[in-house]
Amino acid sequence: MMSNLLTSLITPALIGLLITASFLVIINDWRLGFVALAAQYLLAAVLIAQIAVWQVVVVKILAGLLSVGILYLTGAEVNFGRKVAQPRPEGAAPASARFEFPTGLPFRVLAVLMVSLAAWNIATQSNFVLQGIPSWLNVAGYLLIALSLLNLGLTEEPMNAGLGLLTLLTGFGIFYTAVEPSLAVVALLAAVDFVIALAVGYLAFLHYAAAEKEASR
Amino acid sequence: MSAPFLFIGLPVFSALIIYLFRRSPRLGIVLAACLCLLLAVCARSLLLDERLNLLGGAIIKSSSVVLGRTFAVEPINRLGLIFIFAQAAGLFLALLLVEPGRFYLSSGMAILGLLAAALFVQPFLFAALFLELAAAVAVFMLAGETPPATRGALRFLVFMTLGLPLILVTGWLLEAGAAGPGDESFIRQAVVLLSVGFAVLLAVLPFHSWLPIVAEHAPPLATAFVLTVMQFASTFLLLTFLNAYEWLGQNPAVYRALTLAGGAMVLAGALFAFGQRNFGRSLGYAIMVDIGAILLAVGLGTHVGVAAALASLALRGLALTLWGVGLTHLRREAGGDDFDSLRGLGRRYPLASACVILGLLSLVGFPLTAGFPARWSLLSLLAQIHPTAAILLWLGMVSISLVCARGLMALLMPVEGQTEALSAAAPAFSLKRLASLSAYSLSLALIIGLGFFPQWLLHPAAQAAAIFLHLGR
Repeated sequence: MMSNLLTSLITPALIGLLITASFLVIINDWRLGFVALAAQYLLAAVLIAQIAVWQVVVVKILAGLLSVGILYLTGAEVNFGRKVAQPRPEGAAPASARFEFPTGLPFRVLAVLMVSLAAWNIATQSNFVLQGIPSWLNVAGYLLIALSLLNLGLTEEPMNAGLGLLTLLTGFGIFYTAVEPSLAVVALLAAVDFVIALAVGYLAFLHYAAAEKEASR
Repeated sequence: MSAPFLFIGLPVFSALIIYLFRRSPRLGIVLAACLCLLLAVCARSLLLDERLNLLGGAIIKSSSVVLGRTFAVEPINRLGLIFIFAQAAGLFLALLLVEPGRFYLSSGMAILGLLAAALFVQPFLFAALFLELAAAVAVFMLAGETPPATRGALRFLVFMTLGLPLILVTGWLLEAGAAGPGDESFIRQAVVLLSVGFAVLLAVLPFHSWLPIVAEHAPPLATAFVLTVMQFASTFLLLTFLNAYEWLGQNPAVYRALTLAGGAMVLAGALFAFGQRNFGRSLGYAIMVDIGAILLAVGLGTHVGVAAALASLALRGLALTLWGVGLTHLRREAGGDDFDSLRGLGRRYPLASACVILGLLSLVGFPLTAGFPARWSLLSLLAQIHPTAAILLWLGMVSISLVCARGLMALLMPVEGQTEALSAAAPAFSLKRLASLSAYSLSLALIIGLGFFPQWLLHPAAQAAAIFLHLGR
């Protein structure tokens, strides 16, 4: 019954991964990005659960959520990358309710569509897939890697680039767990996620702490 | 006790201890440098799997198993360890001349432990995971705190992360290829992925863009650490691959690809460097020329070529340490490292200025510097086998030398009215200043002395190259 339930979750998980990875490219809001990244780790775990033992899935989820936790704590330290609080214009919504759309929104949406289609197409070509791996894993891996590369190409801001890097590693982790499910490699990949989250948190902290100091002068 | 624990565990553990000494940096520096020297000596002479009378008959095992993965110390790894720990010791000692960053020593030690793990892990394709961990830790030293500079560190992290999947997937493809020897598609895919993976790790064109950015924005000695110690580990991994897989190490196409990549790097470095007016970015492009030269040397597919590559890598450490110390000093005084902001500072800080210029010149192998003998032997070999590559390398050397000449002019020529101010502000004599002057002079003497007595380095490099038994077409 459990395996039937897991199998029925493959398509929703794939769609969820596409949505969360696209969301990280289109929206620059850190808090929403953290939620999307956490959701991405859970959805990736659903796919990994089809092919790996539950211990591996638990390690993946814990490492992912720990990384999101580190990024969230950093974000909270630097006001989630927003400018230092300034007097709110009359009638404007409070900061927590406002979304900040990045510049070039139509371009980003179009780019996400094109890259997603290209990744989907490549993932179904026999020359480009990793043989011996279920097709839906290939699709999920290619989608996440392609969208994370797009994200990395569009930003030089540490936190958003960090979200892109962690998405890239999630996409690769989906592939790689299928071919190398040993606990040592899973633990090392989890350590990589964790240390990258720490490094990105440090960079974001330096970047925004300096900006805030300058603004408050 | 096992040797992998000694070389991995001790540096990582000491990273935590040294972080506690951050309020007394000199003690931390001496501790870190002494530990690195000790580990380099151990890597050179420690007897493994034999009873040691010195330790009461205890045996230090050459391998250990962690979570099902073997970490083993082999003769080829020992060579890598000696290089890495000796270079790191030099870089740490250089910190006595400048103020180290908060995380420099502790992250440096942690990186050394991770690089040792990358050398020991079997199958060694998993080294990519440890290199990635080391790259993430390196971010803490590459990010400048005052003023905050994160761009170079971020770009470096992104590129290193891009290389990780390519090398790990290669490992799986090789295993799959070994399981079905008739199917060559796995091997073809593996070669392509491996080539791109190493191109990313070694910052080969078009994955080079982090080099000038890191050199311009990161603290100079952190740049020196990454470009010396970490780049050495990546290059050493490439040599180990070529030595371990016969179908790779004996394949002429691989060496042609290395020569092509090396030529492209040298040409691009020469062209980009030509108009530079900034010491940081100039170093980024000089490193491109140096990486290109090393690829050309390995691309020769001979032990003489590998010896030239190893000698260049060893001398890169010395050159970058000098450059890093000098530029840290000048950058602190001028607030930047472009030629205009450093104008005239050569008169006030002649030794720091000489370090920057001689460091750059030695890196590209200018005559009478330490880098020249290794570069000359490479140029002689290339002139016989690939004359076009020799001309490109020569162009690279000329281009960087011209940048140095322009930089030297700027350092020596004060802006109008500045002469009196510079001489009036000459620093007073003190014991600390005397020690600093002696250290600067000694380093400069070393870089010039090695240019005159190259056999001190070339002979050990030739011996080291002989370890790569199966490398060559």
